[in-house]
Amino acid sequence: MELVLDRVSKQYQNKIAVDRISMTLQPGVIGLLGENGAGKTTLMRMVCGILMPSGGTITFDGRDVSEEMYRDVLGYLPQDFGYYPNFTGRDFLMYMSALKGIEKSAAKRKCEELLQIVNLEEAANKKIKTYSGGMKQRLGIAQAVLNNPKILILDEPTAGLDPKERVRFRNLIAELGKDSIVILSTHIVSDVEQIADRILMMKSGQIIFDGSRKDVGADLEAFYLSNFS
Amino acid sequence: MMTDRQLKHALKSAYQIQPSEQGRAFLRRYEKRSLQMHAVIKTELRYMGMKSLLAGVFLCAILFCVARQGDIRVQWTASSVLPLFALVLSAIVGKSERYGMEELEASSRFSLRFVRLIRMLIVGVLSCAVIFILAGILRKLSGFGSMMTVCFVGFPYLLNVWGSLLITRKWHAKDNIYGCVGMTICSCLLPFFAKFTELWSYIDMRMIYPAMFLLLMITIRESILYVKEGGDLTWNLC
Repeated sequence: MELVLDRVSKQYQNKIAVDRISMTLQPGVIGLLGENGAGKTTLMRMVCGILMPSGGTITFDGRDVSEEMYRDVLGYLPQDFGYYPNFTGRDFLMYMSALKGIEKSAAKRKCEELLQIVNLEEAANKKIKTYSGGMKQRLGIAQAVLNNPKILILDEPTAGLDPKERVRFRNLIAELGKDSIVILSTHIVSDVEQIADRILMMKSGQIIFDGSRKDVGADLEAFYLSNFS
Repeated sequence: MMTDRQLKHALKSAYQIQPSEQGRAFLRRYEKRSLQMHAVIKTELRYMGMKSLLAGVFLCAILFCVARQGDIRVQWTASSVLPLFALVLSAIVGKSERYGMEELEASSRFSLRFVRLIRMLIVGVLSCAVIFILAGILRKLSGFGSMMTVCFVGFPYLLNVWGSLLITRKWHAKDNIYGCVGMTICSCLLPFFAKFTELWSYIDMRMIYPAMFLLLMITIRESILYVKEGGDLTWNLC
């Protein structure tokens, strides 16, 4: 299982958001660190196949990510996402299950399982508009893993989570990373420090560091700040 | 020291049969994702937004009741109110962008493009039904042929659909609905403009046919572009 990015670029008028990035990703947790405006979200969107690159190709096991079948194995949590106002937590997961092509009885089972994992089973029948920020984020994480994705893209997934929830989340991601490619984009260095097998650092649309946890040394935060200072 | 109630609860949890891990692993392996398209269409119908649909049905009920009153002026009223129906329907079609669901839907197997197409098909079928029923009622009053009545009744509606789709496609913002409201107001006023300027006294009424055909073509084109754009989200960084 391999996700290959070959000289991927994205240009908006006179701004280059992503500048000729090439890499090969295998199963495991990949942490993507970078400051605001580095191009992380643009890169994530291109990997999801929802944004067309200006140049280069992105393929998964030889198939282009723009193909519909790729989305069958994809799970995505955007940085900001909304919800239809009349949805309860359960409605939201069932709706996303239908869009992911999950058959109804399997979807019901999966939704109940995920609501328990993210600790939302008591709030499942309440409208999402009554949820706190952390609850909405947990619901977003749940929808991302509905279809047991082989590629999981998480953009700032721990925003709004308290420390206890963050630990639960890390455990869940570490578990998923054993069989899937998990790309985790965040500002929170500690999230990446604990669970990432591979660390990417991005600045001005380019990857300025690509290495394992061992290459970074004992203090990832100091290493990260030294690269961005 | 535990109370009786706590003891009872603890005993219940301790003796509760846990779900089988092997069973779960088995289900995970054999959970075939075989949801058919018709099931997705049913889901879209279910989550379309009852308030919007009810508002549309209420508007139609008023239109049909008024149309049966037997007054020629009703024809103009029906023609000017139908764009409001289009506004309700365009609110349904553009839900994903308004509520920030477009990214999640775009990354799903049945993607944003498919969701837009389904919504537009449902809305299109409903609209055609309303226009043809209304035209059938009004044809007797107007004395015009069926096609001409459909054209008079449907022209402001179709103009609003085309304009709203164009606005939604070009204006990537949650409040593009206000642009659609502006377009609706213009479309609603068009029949009154035609009536008060006595437009049909110096333009051949048969000109409505090529005008309607042209409008239909550009609306279909706009619809295709709108659905196609659901496959590629763009963000304006400037």
